[in-house]
Amino acid sequence: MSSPIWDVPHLASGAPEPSADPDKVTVYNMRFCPFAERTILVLLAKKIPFDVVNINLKKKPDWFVEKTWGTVSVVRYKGEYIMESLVNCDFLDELEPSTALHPKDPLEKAMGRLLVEKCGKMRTPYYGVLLAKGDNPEEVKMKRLEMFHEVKKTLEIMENELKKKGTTFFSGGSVGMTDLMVWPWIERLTTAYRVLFPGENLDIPKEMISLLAWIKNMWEVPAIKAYGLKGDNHAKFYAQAASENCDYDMLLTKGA
Amino acid sequence: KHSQNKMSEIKLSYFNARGRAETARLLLAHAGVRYTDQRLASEQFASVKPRLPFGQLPTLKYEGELLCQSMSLARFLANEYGLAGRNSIENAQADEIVDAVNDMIAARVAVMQDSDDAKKSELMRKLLEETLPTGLGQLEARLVERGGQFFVGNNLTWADLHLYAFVDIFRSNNPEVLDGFPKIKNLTERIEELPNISKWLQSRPETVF
Repeated sequence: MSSPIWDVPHLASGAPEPSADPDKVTVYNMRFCPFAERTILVLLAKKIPFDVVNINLKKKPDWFVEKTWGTVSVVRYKGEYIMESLVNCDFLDELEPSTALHPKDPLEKAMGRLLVEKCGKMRTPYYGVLLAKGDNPEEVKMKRLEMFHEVKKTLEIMENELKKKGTTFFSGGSVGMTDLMVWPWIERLTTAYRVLFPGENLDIPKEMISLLAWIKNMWEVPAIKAYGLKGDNHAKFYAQAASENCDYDMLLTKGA
Repeated sequence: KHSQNKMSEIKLSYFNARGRAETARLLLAHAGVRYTDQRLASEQFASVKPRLPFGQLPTLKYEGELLCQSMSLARFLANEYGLAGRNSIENAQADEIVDAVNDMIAARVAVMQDSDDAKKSELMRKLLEETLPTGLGQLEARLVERGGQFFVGNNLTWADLHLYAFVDIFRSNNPEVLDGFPKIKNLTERIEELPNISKWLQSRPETVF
């Protein structure tokens, strides 16, 4: 079985920019980046063929810094570079209108985008939990707990939204743009926290039954089944992400 | 009143943290007093601990005298530098606010020290959604009663600084903690704009807590 197209080495400075087929979507990616995951999920959900160029974000190639805004994901298409995950996801949705992930109704679409913005508030405390450090382990634990309390505020918003809608997904009966845009951080916090901070109960409260059901259903979505990372993969990445020699290729070497 | 003090005559010792020493540091900063801001690593603390009167930090070495207990040494500094209130009643009013803040600190410490990890999440929720808002609400009401500018005598006292030190630690993790308490929020903003305080806030080491 051939390995997925995204299981390629992350290019560092010194490596030349791969040539791209202008008529095919190329994604500049990092395997563990939640923002970039949005773009990959959209491509998979819409069954748009694509190529992947993985970028070493600690040792960025010059061409990446010069030709883009220096962060992933970037969609390269017809000689243009489209930065910003939300922007390139919208672009891809319009590129292939037959498999629309955004709803047709402008009002519904706007409400979905607002929810995505609202859920973005979770990112700061989410990283806060991961990055908390200090001399006193008790205080660091407190910090994680306090930050996670902030994360839960967004989780509650999501739970209430799902309860109100009464649908399987935020986008309705089938998965849509809203679901895919907010998913990557949920994927990480539900897998990484319990491995990195065992016993600290930094989990989605069991009372949030709609959200927990949504998570279960999301893991069954083919795009997420294919690209999402379960188990301790995210935890392993984060545990060494701060180091200078961050191993972006850890999934590759594992398969070897 | 004060001799021209050399930096070595005043030494505040604590961990590299704000914690229970920051009120004293804010007082010293506000007074524009030169002092040694000693920050001990855990191994250093371990070795000096047996020789400390109560085995605890912070301690304040002040012109030859070693003072312990964070609140006592802060109150001492407040008295020395005119931030304890202008008469006995105001002294007591400031102490009252400090005690109320300490109740909230104690509640937070209780959560931190509870070893039952399964309960902790619920304890944290209770702290952030009930205990702290209640305490802050009571302080907000007290502040409003006093005219809304400062907690005591319409002038800055260590009560304001002590509340500030507490809020400062909380805000970094829970930025919305002062939502709903506009007078306290305004007080913290005004404290941050005091020149000596502002200078200290910009220059002090960044710490987790």
